[in-house]
Amino acid sequence: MIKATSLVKCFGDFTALSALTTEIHKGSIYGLVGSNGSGKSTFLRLIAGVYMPDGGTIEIDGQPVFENTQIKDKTFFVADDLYFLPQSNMNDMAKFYKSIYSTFSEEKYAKLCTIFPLDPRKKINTFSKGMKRQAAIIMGLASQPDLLLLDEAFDGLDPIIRGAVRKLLSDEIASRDMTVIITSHNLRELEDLCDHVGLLHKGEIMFEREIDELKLGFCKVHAAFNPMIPLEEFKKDLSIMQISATGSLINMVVRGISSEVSEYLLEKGALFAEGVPLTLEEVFIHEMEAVGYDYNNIIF
Amino acid sequence: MTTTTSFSDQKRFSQLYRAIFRRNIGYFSMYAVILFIFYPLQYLIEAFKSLKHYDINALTLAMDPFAYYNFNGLGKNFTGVSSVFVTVIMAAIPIILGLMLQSYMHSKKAADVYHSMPIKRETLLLVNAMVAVTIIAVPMIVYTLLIAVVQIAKFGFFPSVLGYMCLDTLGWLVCSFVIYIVTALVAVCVGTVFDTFVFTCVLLFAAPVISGLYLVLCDMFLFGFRANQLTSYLIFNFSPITLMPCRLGFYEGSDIYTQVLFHSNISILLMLVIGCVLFVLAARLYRRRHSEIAEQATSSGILPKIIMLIGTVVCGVCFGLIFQMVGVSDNNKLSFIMWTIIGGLLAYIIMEVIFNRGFKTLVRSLPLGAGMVVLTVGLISLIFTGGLGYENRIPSIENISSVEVNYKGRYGDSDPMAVGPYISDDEGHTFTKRLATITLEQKENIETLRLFHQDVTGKKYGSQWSSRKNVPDDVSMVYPNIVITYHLSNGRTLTRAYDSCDVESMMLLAPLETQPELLYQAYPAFYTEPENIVEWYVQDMFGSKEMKQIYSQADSAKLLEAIRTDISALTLEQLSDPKDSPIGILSFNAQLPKQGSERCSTGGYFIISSREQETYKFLKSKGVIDEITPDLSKVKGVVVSVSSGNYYRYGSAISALYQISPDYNEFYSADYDNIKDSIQERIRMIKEDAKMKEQTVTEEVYVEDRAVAAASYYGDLEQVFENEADIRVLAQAVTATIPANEKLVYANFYFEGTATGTPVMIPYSKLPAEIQKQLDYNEIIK
Repeated sequence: MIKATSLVKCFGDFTALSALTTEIHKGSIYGLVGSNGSGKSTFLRLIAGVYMPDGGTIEIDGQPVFENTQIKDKTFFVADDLYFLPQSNMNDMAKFYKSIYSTFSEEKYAKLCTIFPLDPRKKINTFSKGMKRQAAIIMGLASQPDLLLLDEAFDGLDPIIRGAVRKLLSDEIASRDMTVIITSHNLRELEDLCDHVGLLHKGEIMFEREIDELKLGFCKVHAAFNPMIPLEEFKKDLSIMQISATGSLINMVVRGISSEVSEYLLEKGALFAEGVPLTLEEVFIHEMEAVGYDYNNIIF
Repeated sequence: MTTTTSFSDQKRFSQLYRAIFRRNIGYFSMYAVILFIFYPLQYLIEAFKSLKHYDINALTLAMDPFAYYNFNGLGKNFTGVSSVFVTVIMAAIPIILGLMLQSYMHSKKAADVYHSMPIKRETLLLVNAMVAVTIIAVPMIVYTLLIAVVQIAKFGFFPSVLGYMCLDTLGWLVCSFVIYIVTALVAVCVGTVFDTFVFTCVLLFAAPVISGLYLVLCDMFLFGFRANQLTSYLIFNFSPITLMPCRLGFYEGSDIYTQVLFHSNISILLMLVIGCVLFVLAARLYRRRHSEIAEQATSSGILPKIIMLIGTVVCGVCFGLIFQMVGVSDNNKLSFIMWTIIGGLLAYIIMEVIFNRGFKTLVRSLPLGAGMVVLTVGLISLIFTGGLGYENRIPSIENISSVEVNYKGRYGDSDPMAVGPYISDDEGHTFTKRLATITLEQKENIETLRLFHQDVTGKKYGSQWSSRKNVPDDVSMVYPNIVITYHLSNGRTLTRAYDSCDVESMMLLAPLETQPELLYQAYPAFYTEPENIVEWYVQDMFGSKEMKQIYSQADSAKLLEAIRTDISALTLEQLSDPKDSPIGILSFNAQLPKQGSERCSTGGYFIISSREQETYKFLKSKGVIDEITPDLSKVKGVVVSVSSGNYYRYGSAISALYQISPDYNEFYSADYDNIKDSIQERIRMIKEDAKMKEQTVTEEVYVEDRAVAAASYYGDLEQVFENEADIRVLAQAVTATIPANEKLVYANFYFEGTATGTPVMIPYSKLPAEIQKQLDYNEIIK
């Protein structure tokens, strides 16, 4: 289990993480979302032991991560900006990681090389961005870590490879109880892959839930009233994140289960009320709007 | 069944070591090839060169098999070319490796990989260091072994040379290790490769450069200070980049060889300790290093401040020195400080802009720059204000046990020396050692020296830069280059050096001229054994007649004793104002004592100044005196030279009482007619110039002014005297010794049928007024 307690990380005057507290359970696929500069990559680097915390603690299985070789031996970090040894090919990199990670499996590496369309003898600096990403994921999976940290993991991958990666991750989780923490701006991707999601904003976890709970916890409802009743009426009883009215038609985004909200509106005299769950992207946008991260209000 | 437990740190270390070494095998090969070309190959070329063009002496070759080969270093394993290139290679490679192996710290994405790996940072640093040591050490050791084998095969087995070769190789490796560690330490502290390179270079050169500059400043501005050879060598021991190249200049038998070698060996040991300490420091700092500083310009923290301080001090002082040299101002000290401030501030601003990649922080950081400049000026001011009493410090007589001084009186140009066998090497070579100083232990002599020292420091004339302007026009300076070392009762020493002083100060040393303590150490007649004397020469004062005499050992002993008696009998009054004209010069050549001696000489001389002297009587009894009596009727002419300004003394011995030396040869051409013509032509030109000046300048020009102008343009005034009466007067005015504060003229007597003889000295005051007039610019240009 990964446990961050009041985790603080500063870069000069800028505070990237301010008192971040969270727990990530073993075997989960945790999606980390957040606006640009919210501290996602910083949090991953703290978990990977790249950064030293300026305050608070970050522990894996009850042990601090920084300079802990035992913990780091079970952790593999695929950064957003990838690095490979100069003039190396995938085989060189595999040898390098084999000398470092005790769990590195040559068989798995060989198998992965057959899955991904990459030439392991070709120099990596000739690879495209997506191919480099694939190479890094191969190294990560071949190292067989207990914790895989993926920063913008799907960046540059084509849809086929994305699917393959998703499948491989699911298999690893199923077979080895591996934990994956993944950051991405592609929320659709996370929605399909993750079982948990955390929203980071300004260095803090704004909320974190199971993905199903999250989807169920928000709903978008359309209802018609005749005559129309004042919108303030709803605000008293519902946790409304957004509401708008056009004629007799009301559209609202509400925290809660869609069936319960629909029932409430029908009781209030709605001619009809229909609720649908929100996508993760919609949840993200509405939550961010709630804290003032609203680009709809930008006037050009 | 996880392999984690079996995957120990040791295994990870060795696997990572192999992985990193494999990745750098290309650099290893390249370095090995370059080193081979410039180290063993150069040695082989030199060792197997053809000796056809040499005039081979079999005995020399038997005694020293390396005699005809140009090998440097105590291990004789370097040539001229390899000395230069190995120095460069062994300095550059550790820096390059340090930059390369630690470059991952300066790339954000590389740091992500390396710092997320399950390996401790200390281990990573150690693995890199081990790889660097392997790359540097293996070729160096292999090549040195190759050279050692070749040396034994070609020149023979010399344990001491091979020992030095091993020690030197160890030294090179230790220094390379320290250079690498300094680079690694800097790499840990900064965020970019550029900063690492710049900071490393600055740190490596800082100590010798700053100490060297400070020594130069002390030498220039601190009255009485002189950096000795040992100190100059020691500066190179302060840095791993200069320590070993300095050793290449060592050779056995040099005066300070033993001391320098001892310090150098200690420095190698210290470097090893420093290297280990720096590695531990680097490991500790690396553990706490923030990965996020990668790719960031290093402007904060203590290291950039240290670099900026070094830069400010060095550039400030260099600016001061440069503008001091070109002499842009009359006020040396003020000008120096002004240019130091300008140079220091300029350097600070440039560094600030470079380190911060812009001007944004410049104004805010200026107070720090000002502080650094103030510190620089403060350090210089320590020297300018007398070095915290350094200039005036003279120990009290009670605290002095003895004084070592290089003042050796009027016979000081006869160099005493020590000779083996007590100074010899393993191969049985005999060395001579020049004894440049005498030691005074008698209180009255020490007090005489103290009085001189007090007078010199009180006047402070003649410091190269700071006080030159202080010498009044009417003060005559001499340049005795005196070095005084007081040995104090508490075991410490105090050394002061004065390249010049005025003649009045010099005269304070005159009482030493009659002191047995000086005579026994400075004059060869007192310490030369008669059995070592090979031959004697007697000549008249003018060098017109010379006789070689071979005396028996008994006669030589008698003659030596006579000289000792005569010299000991001379009083200061007699020396300062001799009543008789000198009769001749007696000199001897001697061989070095076979049994060795703590003080001996290969020759000496004595000026026979009176018919009352024992030496005169001895030579008279041998019939030599009559043979050397000059026939003045055969003098064609006398060339007399008088100094235009201060009466500068020619010759090598500068003492309170000056006398001519037979070793001092003529300074005119042997062709008298040429000399005469050129002197007369010169006098005509001086007169014409003066006349023209009088006609062209509208306002009245005084004779004195024209004389000064002529003197400053033409220098020493020379005249030729051919009148028989003048020649006799000049001959009678010659004296054996002249006090330093008395004006003198030099006279060269040209005899018929002989080459030019030794110049003689005549006190100006003893010349008749008519002759004095002819030696005066005022009279000539009237």
